Amino acid sequence: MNHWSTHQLTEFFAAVCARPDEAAATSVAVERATEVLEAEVGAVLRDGRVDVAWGISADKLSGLSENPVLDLPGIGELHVASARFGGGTLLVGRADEALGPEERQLLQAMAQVLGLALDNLTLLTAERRQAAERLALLDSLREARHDSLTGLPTRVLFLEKLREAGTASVLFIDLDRFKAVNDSLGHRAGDDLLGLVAARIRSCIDDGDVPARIGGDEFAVLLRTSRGDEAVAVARRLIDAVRRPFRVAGRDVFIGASIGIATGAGSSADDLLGNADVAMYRAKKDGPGKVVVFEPHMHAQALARLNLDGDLQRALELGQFRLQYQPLIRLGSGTTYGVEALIRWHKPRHGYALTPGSVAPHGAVPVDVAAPVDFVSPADFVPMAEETGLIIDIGRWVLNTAGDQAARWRTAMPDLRLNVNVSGRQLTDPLFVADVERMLARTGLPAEAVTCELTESVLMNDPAVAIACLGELRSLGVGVSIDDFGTGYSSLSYLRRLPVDELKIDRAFIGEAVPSREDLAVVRAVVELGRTLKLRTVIEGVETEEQRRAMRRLGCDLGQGYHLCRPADPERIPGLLFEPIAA
Amino acid sequence: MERWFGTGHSTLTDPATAAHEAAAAAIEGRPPVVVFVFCSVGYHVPEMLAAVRSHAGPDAVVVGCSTSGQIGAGFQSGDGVAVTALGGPGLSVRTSMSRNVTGRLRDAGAEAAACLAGIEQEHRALLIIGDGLTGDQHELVRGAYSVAGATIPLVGGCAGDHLTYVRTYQFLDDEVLSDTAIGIALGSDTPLGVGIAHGWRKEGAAMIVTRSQDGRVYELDGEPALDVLLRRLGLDEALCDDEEAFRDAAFLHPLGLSRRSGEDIRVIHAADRNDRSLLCLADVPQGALAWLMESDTDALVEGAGESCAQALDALGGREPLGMLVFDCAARRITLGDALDREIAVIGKVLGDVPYGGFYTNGEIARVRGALGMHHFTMVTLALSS
Repeated sequence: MNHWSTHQLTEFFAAVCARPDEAAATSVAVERATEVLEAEVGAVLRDGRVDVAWGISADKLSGLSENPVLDLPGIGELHVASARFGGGTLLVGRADEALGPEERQLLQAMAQVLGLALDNLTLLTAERRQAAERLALLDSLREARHDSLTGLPTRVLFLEKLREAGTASVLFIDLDRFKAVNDSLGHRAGDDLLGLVAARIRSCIDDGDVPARIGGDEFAVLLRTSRGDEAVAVARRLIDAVRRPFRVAGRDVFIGASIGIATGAGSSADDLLGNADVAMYRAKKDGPGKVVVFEPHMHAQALARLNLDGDLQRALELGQFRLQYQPLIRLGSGTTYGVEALIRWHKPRHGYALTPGSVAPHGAVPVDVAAPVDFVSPADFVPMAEETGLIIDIGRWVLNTAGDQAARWRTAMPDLRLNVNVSGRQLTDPLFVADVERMLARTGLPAEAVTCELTESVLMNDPAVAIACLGELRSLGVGVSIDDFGTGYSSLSYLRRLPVDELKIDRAFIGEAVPSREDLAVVRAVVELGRTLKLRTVIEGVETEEQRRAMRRLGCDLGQGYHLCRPADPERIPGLLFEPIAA
Repeated sequence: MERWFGTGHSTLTDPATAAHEAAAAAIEGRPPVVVFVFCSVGYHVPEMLAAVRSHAGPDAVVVGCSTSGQIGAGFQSGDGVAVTALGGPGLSVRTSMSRNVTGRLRDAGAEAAACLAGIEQEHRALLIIGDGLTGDQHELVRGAYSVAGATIPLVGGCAGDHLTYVRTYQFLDDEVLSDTAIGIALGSDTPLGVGIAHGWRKEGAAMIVTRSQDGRVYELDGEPALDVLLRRLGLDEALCDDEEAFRDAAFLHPLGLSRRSGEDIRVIHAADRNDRSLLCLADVPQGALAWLMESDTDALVEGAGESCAQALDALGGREPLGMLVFDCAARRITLGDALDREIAVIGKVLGDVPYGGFYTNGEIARVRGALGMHHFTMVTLALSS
C-alpha cells in the first residue's frame, strides 16, 4: 500500500473513533471513504439492509445486492466497489472510472479499520457504561458516608476514622427537646436546627477532631485524646454551645444536649462508639445537660435493659402481666373504701435476672411466689415502658382488667372504689379519655367509682398540659388523685387549679415506725391543706399500729400499707374485704 | 415569451441610483424568476434592494450578498453593484436560508439545501451563498451534499467584504443578514453546466500531508511544513518575520490537493514559527497527496477561459443562455492589473452570452465526487436556452 494511504487510514481511524456511538462512527466512515476515494456514493450494509448511505437516499440502495448496479440520472452507471468487515460491507460507487488496485486496497483497509473501530466503540461503550456505574456507586457510597443534611460524616465514615485514629475518645451527643421542636415547628425547622447544631459542634472542636451525625438527633465527635478530663471539658463546651438559643423558623429555639464519653485504649471502634452511647443514655437519665463518662458496669445494665426491652415487648401478648389489689382503708372505721390496682410482671426465668422480688413502689411486694418466674418490679420496667411508649398499651390493659374486676366485686360491695395508676404518657395520649369512657360503658362502673392516680412529678412537669388533660377526665366524672404527694415540688398555686379529688401522702413522711414530730407536722399540714381544698387525703405506707393511730388523729381520711392490708391477688380480695382489717 | 438572462452593472455611489442602473439593464422590464444582487460593502443595502425590487416586481426572488468585487455586463469592479436576472418558461427557483450558522455549518448546509424539495425539473442545481467568515466551509458543503446527493451539482460562493474580513452580508428578499447560508435551488427543463478551473500547475514532486489538523498543516513528508515550504521555494527564514511579505510569497504557491479531476487549491495564509506549521484556513486532510502549485498571469487568465468552456461543454450542445460566475477574490488580487484580460477571455469564450457574478471568499462547486469546496478557483454555472 502507498505511503500516503497509511496516513489516510490513520486519519480515517481517528475520525471514526472520535465519534460517540456506532451510528455516528459508521456515518463518518462512509463519508470519509467516499471523499478519500473521490466517489459520489458510499454506504454500509449490515444484515442485508442499508445502515448508512451517503450521496444517495438509502431506499435507492435497499434491496440491491452487495455489488449493485447503480445508474444515476445525469451521472450514469457508477462503478461500485465493496469490502467486507466484521459486521457488514463498506461500499462506494464512483462515476466515470472504476477504482484502481491501490484504491481497492485502501477501501479494504478502511473497511477493516471500520470493523476495528466499531469493536473498539462497543468495548468503549461498555467501559463507559461500567465507568458511569462505578461513578454512580461511588456517589452513592459518598452519599452514605456524608450526611446530606449537615454535611457531616455518617456513622460509616465515623467508624472508619475511629479505626484509623488509634488513641481517641468519643463523645456521643443526644439533643434534649429536639423532638418537641420537630413536632411543634415542623420537620423543615427540625432539619434547619440539625444543620445549625452541626455548625456549633464544628465550632467547638479542633481541626483534627471528627464530628459526625450518627442518626436522628444524635451526633458524635472523635477527639484525638484519650484523656477523660480533656474529653469532659470539650463535652461541657459543647453543652454550653448547644444551650445557647438557635434561630429557627423566625424564632429562638432552646434545646440542650446530653453527652456520653468513652475513652479507650484497646477498644474496637464499634465498642468505643457503643460505650459512648451507653454513657449518653445514663447522662440522659440523669437529666438534661449532663455529661457521663462510660464505666464498664454500665454495659451490663445496658445489656440488661436491651433484653428487658425485648421481653417487655412480648410480655403483654404472652399474658405475663398480673394485677394485684391493695385496699384503701378508712382510718376512722377500718372499713374498705376501695382498692388500688397494682401491676406485676411474672417473667419466666431465663437469661439474666433483674432484681427479683425487689420492693415495688406503692409498698407492694409480690406474694405467692410460684417458680419458675421472676417478679419484675414495676420500678424496673415501668420507666422503660414509658420510654418506649409501651406504657400506653400496658396502661390500657390495666384499666380494662381492673375495671372488669371492680365491676364484678361491686355486685357484692356496691360502694367499692377503684384506683388505677396512670402514667404521664397515658395522660397525654389523645385516646386515653376515650379508653376510660369505653371501659366505663362496657363495665357499667359509675365514673365516680374510678380514680386515676398520677404522680406529682407527672402533673408538675407541665401543669398547663396536665390541667387540660385532667379537665377532660374530670368531665367524665372520674376522680383524680395525686400520688406520692410531697416528693415533688408542687406549686400551691397549681395545686389549687388542678382538678383533683385526692392527695396520697408519700410514705416518706411516716418512714419511722413511730412518726417523729416533724413528720407529723408535715402530714398535718398536708391534711389541713386537703381539707381546705376539699380533697380527700390518703396516707401511704402505714406499717405499724402507731402510725395508723397517729394518722387517724391527724384527720387523714384513708390509709394504705402492710399494717392495714398487703396487696393481694384478686381471688383473695373478697375474703379480705369482708373481714374487718383493723379497728 | 422566451427564456432570458440579463446582467447590469453600476459603479455609482448612491445605492438606489446604482441599483436602478444595474437592475434596469439586467431586467429590461421582463418579469424575472430570480434576481441576483452582488455589491461591494458600503452601500445602504435596503435602499438598493428596494430599487431592485421596483424592477423585479413582487414575485421574483431577490437574492445576493456583499462581495470582494463584482462582475456584470462585461465589467468587473471593486466598488459597485452587479445585477443578474433570469426568467421565462421552464425555470423555477426556490430558496431557503439557514441562520446563525457559525459552529454548525454542516447543519446549515443541510438546511440551505432544503429548498431542493419541490424542484421537479430534470436539470437541477443548488446554488449556495455562504458567509465567508464562518469557519470551515467544507462542512457547509458536506451538509448540502447530505441532502442534495450525487445527482445534483452544487455551485456558489461565499460572501466577502473586500478582503477586510470584518463582516459580510447575505440578502434574501428584503432581509439583510450576516452568519447565514442561503440555498437557491434552480430547476430548468434544459441542461445546466458547471465549470471548475484555476490555472495552477504542479511544481516539483508530490508530498504527503503527514500531519494536519483543522486547516493547519504541521508536517509534509514527515518534516515541519514551514521548513519544506521555505526550502522548496528557496525562501529565507527571515521572510517569516514579515507577515505580509510571507503571505505575498506564499500566495503565489498554494497547495494543490490531488484529485482525479485535477487539484483542489488551498491558499497558505500564514506560518507559525513556534510549531513550524502552515495555516491554510481550509481542510487539508492528513494523508492527502499534495503539491506546491505555481502559476502565472497567462495561466490564471487561461483558467477563467477553461472554467467557462467546461460549463458550456456541459450543456450538451444546447445554446447557452447566460452564465453565473463565482471567481476567487484571491485570483482578483493576484491578477491585479491583468483583471481586464480575465474579463476579456470570458467574453471571448462566451461571445455575446451574458454573464454576471462576484469575487468570492471561497468557491463552491461539485459535479463529481462528494467534495465541493474550492479556493483560488473560478466556478461557473451555465444555463441553456
